Amino acid sequence: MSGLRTPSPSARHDPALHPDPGDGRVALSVEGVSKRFGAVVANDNVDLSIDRGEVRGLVGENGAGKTTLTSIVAGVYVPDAGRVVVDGAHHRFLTPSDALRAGISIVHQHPMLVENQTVTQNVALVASRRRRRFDRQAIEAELRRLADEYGLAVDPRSIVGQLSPPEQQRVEILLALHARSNIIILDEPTAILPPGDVTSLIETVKRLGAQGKAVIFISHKLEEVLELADTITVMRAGAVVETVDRADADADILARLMVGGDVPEIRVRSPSARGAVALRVSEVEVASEARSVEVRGASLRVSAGEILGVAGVDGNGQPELMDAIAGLRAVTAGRIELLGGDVTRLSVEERAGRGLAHVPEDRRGQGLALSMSVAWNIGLRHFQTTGGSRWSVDYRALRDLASELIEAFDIRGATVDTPVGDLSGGNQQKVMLARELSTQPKALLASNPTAGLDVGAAAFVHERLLTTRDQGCAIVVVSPDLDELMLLSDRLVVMYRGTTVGATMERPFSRHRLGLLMGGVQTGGSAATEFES
Amino acid sequence: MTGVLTAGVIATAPIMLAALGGLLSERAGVMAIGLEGYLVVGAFAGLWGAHGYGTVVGVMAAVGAGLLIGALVAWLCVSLRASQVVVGLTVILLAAGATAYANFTIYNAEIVSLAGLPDIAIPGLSELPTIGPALFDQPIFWYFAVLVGLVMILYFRQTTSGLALHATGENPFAAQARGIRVTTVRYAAVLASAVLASLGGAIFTIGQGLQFSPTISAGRGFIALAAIYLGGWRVGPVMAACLLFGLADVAQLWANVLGIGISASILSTAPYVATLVALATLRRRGSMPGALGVPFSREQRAVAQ
Amino acid sequence: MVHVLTRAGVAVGAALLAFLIVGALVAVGGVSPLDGYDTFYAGSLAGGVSLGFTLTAAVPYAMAALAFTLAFRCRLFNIGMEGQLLWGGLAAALVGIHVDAGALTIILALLAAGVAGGVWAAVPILLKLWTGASEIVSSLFLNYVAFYLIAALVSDVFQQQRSTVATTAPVGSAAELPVLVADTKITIAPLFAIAVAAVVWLVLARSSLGFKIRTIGANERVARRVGMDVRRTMVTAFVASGAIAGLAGGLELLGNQFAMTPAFSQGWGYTGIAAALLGGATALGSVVAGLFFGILDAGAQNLQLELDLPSALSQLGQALALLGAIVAAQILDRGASARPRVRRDAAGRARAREAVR
Repeated sequence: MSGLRTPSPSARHDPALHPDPGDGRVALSVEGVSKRFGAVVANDNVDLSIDRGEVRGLVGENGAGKTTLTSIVAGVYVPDAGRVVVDGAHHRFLTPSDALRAGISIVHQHPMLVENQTVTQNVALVASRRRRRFDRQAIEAELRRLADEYGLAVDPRSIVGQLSPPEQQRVEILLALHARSNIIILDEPTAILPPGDVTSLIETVKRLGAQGKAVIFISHKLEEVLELADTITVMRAGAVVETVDRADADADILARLMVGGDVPEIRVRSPSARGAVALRVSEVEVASEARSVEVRGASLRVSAGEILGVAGVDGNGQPELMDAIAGLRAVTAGRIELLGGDVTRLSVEERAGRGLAHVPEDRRGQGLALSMSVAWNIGLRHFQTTGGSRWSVDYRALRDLASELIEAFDIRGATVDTPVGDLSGGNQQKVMLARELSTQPKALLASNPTAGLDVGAAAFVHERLLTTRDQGCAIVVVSPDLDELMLLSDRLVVMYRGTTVGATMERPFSRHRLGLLMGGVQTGGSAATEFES
Repeated sequence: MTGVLTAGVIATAPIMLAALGGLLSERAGVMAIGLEGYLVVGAFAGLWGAHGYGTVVGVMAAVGAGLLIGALVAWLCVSLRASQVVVGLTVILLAAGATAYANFTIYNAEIVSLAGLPDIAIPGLSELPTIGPALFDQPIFWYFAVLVGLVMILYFRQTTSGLALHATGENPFAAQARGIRVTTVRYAAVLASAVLASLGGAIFTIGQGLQFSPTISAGRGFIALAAIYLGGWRVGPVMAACLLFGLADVAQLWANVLGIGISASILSTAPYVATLVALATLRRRGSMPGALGVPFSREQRAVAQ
Repeated sequence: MVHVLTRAGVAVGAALLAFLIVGALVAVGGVSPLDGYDTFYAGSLAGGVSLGFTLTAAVPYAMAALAFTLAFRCRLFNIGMEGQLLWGGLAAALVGIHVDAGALTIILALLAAGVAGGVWAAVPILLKLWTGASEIVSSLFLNYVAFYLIAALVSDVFQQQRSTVATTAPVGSAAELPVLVADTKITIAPLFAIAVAAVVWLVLARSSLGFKIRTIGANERVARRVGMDVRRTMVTAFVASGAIAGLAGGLELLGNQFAMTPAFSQGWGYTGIAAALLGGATALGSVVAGLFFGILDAGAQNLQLELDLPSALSQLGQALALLGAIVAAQILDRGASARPRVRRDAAGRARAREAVR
């Protein structure tokens, strides 16, 4: 590890900006980088400097500019102003291959790999080492060597699409190593990892630092950052707030720096006034198709006025199960009961008619028609019921409704005619919520309701869910974020490999036990047996 | 029987060149709906060049025409990011209109056709019973088409450039992350597809000596597209599919050989019906390029912020 | 509103550009452009007779454009209009020849035309829903099948006796569309086309079906998620599109050609696509673009008659206008997308994988 500067917490200026000339220890430095997208300022005059062998944590809430900054460093975006200095040489990368050649690699949050090719083929594509003939043997040999050296076990001949997310992540790191990058950026790498794999990733990162690589580690999980970073940079609203030494930081300090004040208080949750069972899913099986996970023997039960959280790492069948409950996927075995009635064979429309609403996880691709207006999107659940007749649509009534909802849900930057694609992520989410909640549902399925939202918007969504719960709705919340689930849920169930595992948990929740279940370790008891009665 | 096979193979050649060209474009992520237009343009350019200045110039003219129209398509699809289906349809209409106009203006209803190209026999192989002459005693353009196919197989398997092209069509963001210039690759692929398909079109006029009309290709560009689909976007199977359709194309000859007496008109539907049936029933093996048809934008934020 | 005006402006600009280019080509052909424009105008807009040619030519374009538009708004490409209108023409001819029910004859004949077109269109859309095969390719191939089948039917089965060319008998006078302006070719066909346009507009802009169609067109997955019956809506839209194309054939037969021949179509099934796109895939746009194409056709015809210029100029002009519109639309779109979050149908377009599937 390199020597560390120790700024006092109140200092706003990073002395590392001005290293001694000929220092040779600074691997990467960013000077005055600014970037705007239209009216949005993503990066505002950012200055940063990282030494060789230093692991730098980069934290900030969604929209703070971390990804934009690292994208500029990696050559994906071209900055409006400023430059990147690598080993003393000034650069303004126009393309990712420029950055690659300068020795910078980035491991993306969602693996950016060609799924239909093998690991070796993906590696062969790396610009800085590209040869004309595809020499499979040579690349495989080097990959095995690197894998050994850094503890990244992956079979070079496997097809990337068939690898698990942790394995794909290892491939991305190998890509960076194969490209001889000295500066490696990791963007939210633990988001897709089960708790067990997080530990080995942290090990790998420390090893990278030990080998003299400069590592930038973006994460919103402060505990992890505090564990592996040497120094931590906090960003907010596109600018660097401060860079602190690990020794001087703790979760509270970082959180306060991230938000710029006091962290919004979560209101005290009143215990739920549980009513009758509203939604019961028994031993449901959903066939797997291309790119989807098979669901076998999944069971859950939610009562009116209760929030059931479904925990689990992404990719363990949660969306498939939610789709099956909503009526979008056919169930090959098992039963789904809504308000006492069997809805297993009913269509989406019929279930909606009985009071089921759902907020899908992919708001841009599946939840909203981005090119259509707010009124249109809200109208998707109302066009047949609001005014008019069965055959015609009363657009005026839809717009009036949308107007009311925009106000009620505080949807900013929108009129009834604004195309939904123009809104920010948080406001898009509000449109979806408004649409579903305005149908006065008896049961609501919410998948990843706060994905990509900043703290303020996320808090709003949580408020709404709790309020809806208090009004007697039965809510299922799916989220890969354990903190969120532990905050919202009255009861918790875990999904692993398409099944609900372990018994449904009541408060207080054991994070330890949850982590085990999420990682596939059985701890006795099964959710299925609960529902035999 | 040999006669039918020979004719079928000749009919296969333009389809194969168009399909191979289209394959390059589609593997890179750009839909090749406009193949029909390239065929027509190549047919006319080839005729004009060869009629006035000889076969070689004719071929060069076809290549040149392919480059021009390919550049237009590439600009529309890759740089302007227009809907690739719409562009394809537009190009077909444009090709029909432009060649009709040029044909009238230059030749003014004169009957113009060329002599066609002679057969070249490969010693030994062309003596094989039944299939020998059909496969190995054909004009040069057949060998060329097959050669292009073989080169493409090597290209995709053994070169990094081929891997890069494949990557561009599967996941352009990943390709970009590895330093591949997606725009350049797609431009090159589209240009190559236009050139190959134009050469395919030139086969009609230069190779077979047919008279030009704007409907000379009669849907073969779309048959080529169907062949790409049926072949699962893999070179070998695509070539096989082309052969299948080429043989269907000479249905009238089949009818004669097999002694079936169906009216000529009905038989003319054979290649199209065959394609439809194949599309509806055969399960394709390979897979569609992941990002096919999606315009690529460098600054598109792949992950929602 | 601004959006609509911009689109209209783009289309008009493109049309003007095409006009200029054609004028240039005319000059290249050795004729003074002024003479050319003059003859063009005389052939298309000057007087009842010319207007008759224009309107007669415009009707099939406008109808085909309307047909394409309806399916297109649902993100379906009906490339099979050519075949659908051929069947429509044949059906109208057969009814017109064999049925004499006074005023009802025309209605019956047109009904038959619509049904014929709709049935022929059912094939590609069902194929798509059952097997995943792209409707683009299948509807296109069915055009060729239709063409050859009808050619065979006309010359072998329905051939008019005592005729040396392949044709059916002409329809009875009860089936001929009434002429609106004496001594011209102006029949009620244009009025009919306008009526169809009004219906298409109503459906798209005011009906539940239209709401569903447009939602599917914007994002099919969202439509599915909110419980819309996507498959049924797609079939309805596509078959209706086919019916309109069939009607186009019927109107052409009963109002202009009166007998079915293999050479019945001038390719409206394809150029109708250009008209629809030029018109921004709207009902009104389809009518206006159809009219524009009709003017081009009539004018170019006169150019050929009087000045010996290729009538293919019309085709070229149409294609150029479309090209110009596409380019302009994309450039405008890109300007508007300076903001990063404007995803202008990109998600939707991504779903439009119309590649051979």
